[in-house]
Amino acid sequence: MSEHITHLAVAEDSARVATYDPEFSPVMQECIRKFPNALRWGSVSRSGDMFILPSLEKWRDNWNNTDREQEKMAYILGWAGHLAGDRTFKPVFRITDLAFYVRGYPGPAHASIYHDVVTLHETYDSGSRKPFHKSVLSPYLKGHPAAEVVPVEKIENTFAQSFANDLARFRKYLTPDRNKDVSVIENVGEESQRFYVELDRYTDAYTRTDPARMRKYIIEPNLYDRTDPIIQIARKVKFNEKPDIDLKEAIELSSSQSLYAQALALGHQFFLACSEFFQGNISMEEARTRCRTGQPHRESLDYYIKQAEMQENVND
Amino acid sequence: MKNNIDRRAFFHNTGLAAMGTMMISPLDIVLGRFGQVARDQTMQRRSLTPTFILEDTLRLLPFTDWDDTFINSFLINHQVFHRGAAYQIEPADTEVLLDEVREKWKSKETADEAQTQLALLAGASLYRLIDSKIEWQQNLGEEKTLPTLTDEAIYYDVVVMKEMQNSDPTKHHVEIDKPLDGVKVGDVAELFHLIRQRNLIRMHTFRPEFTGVELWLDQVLDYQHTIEEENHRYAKIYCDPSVADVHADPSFYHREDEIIRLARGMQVSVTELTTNVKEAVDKSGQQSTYAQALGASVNMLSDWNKYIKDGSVKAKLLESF
Repeated sequence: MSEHITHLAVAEDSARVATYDPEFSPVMQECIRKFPNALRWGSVSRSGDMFILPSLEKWRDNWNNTDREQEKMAYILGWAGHLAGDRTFKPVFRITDLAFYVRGYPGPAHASIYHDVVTLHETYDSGSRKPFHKSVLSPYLKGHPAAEVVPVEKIENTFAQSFANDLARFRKYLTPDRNKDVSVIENVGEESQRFYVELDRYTDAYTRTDPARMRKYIIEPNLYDRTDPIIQIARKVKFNEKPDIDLKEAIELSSSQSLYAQALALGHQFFLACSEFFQGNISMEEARTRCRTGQPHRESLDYYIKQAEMQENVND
Repeated sequence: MKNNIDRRAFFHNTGLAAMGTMMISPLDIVLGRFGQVARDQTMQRRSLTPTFILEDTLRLLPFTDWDDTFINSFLINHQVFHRGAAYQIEPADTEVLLDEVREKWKSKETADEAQTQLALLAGASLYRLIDSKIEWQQNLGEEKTLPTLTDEAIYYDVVVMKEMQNSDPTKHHVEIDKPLDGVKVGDVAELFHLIRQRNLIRMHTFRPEFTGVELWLDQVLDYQHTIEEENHRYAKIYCDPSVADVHADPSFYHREDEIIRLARGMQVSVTELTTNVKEAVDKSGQQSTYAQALGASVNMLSDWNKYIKDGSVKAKLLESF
């Protein structure tokens, strides 16, 4: 499934909320400020559970504040933001788009695509903020001033395959702890970085928005509400304004507010746990608990089928 | 060839040397018998041109008279086909892998896997072939990092991009070897950035390397800087090729070469379907560098087709790795 844009947004907005918190590590604040691109790539990386706290544990006793260390720290914090997105939205995809998973369709569920395009609209101001552009979901970047002179549709896949080959050189495909019983061919399919999300579906959702899908995936689950105080904090920090909103109260309120507000509250919880652990204020055990390390993002499909059946019974 | 990477030394110094110390043969790893050992990746040319040529090779497949199952191996598994660039398969091991493909090909139960394996192996052999056909200089990477692109490599990548632009009659014409009037370098750099950003959306997430995340982080962060810089370098040369300081080879790309016309036509659905691909391939040996590489690539796929059909040309294929 995809939700690339939502992952980016949750990590960047969680970082904004964290920088508003006086308890958040000044070292981490500097890392985020200096290396926003590292945070962005961290926010779209998997398996953070395995690496975030062990890395912080290693660094906290031997931190020299070098540029490279700071850049890695920003990446790690983005990784924590990724987990906040996963833990908030993955169950929602299954609840709101159960049929997609039951039938085993390829590619991302409609729910995740709609989350992404609405997030692009809300958090990145219709794509006009970095790392995007207002034309990012137009067919082949139509509307971008350089798209007239560069054949985007003819070269985009070449860039993709070259990029994946470059990334493959940093990977090893058969390792002691995974994929023990499969052939290299299966490993290539599973482990190499494939491009499986059809951008046409994003473009379609963004430019020919389906009201039924908006209702099902965005409105009814309450994906995003600009008036939620924690979202207000992130937005004001983004625009370099002073929020003047009580953070603790905003976090408490978020539990009954939009899903995006809940994701930011969880992101803030993870960022603060990382900060306190890095500063030596809490143990690894407490850090793991507060970061929900090892907790699955979702239940089994059977669980969601039963939930849907129960919901149907209630409706009947 | 002016490739200043000593590939064998690279492998010797990195992954395969490590395998040797563990007394496990690469063959065992490739075959999945020892699924517990890391395997280093190869170091093929990074520029876009080899991938352009491989994509053009796939575009020509519908014109051949090869079996559907063979053609579909590549069209269905086109991403695995390209991943062939990232694999080093030692010649001594390749024979077993080749035998295995033919064996799997015969059974319905294993036919899908055979198609995937064929795509990977053929992709690996074709990337190596094209690498050998390209003459320009490439940089030597550090031990742990990827090489940056030379101006020469970027220059020729830009030539191909512009030729693709101009092959489409609906598009704005761009000068191949002159500055582009009124086009801002910043806009073009941003466009390349957005192409990569869209590809990240398509990819969804990065998978880290579990066996050494610190090194992986260093590599990925270095790579992020590299591609940001390269977006700007591509843009500068796109807008003004003279900044590349390259003594351009006039025989690199001739849009009149039949095989190139066929490939470009397939991108915009204006191909003359009566074009004889065999004739185009035959002529390509005497034509531009791009045509020669593309023709050689189609010929090698033809060898793969023969091999799958009757087991012939096996020795020739083995030599290609």
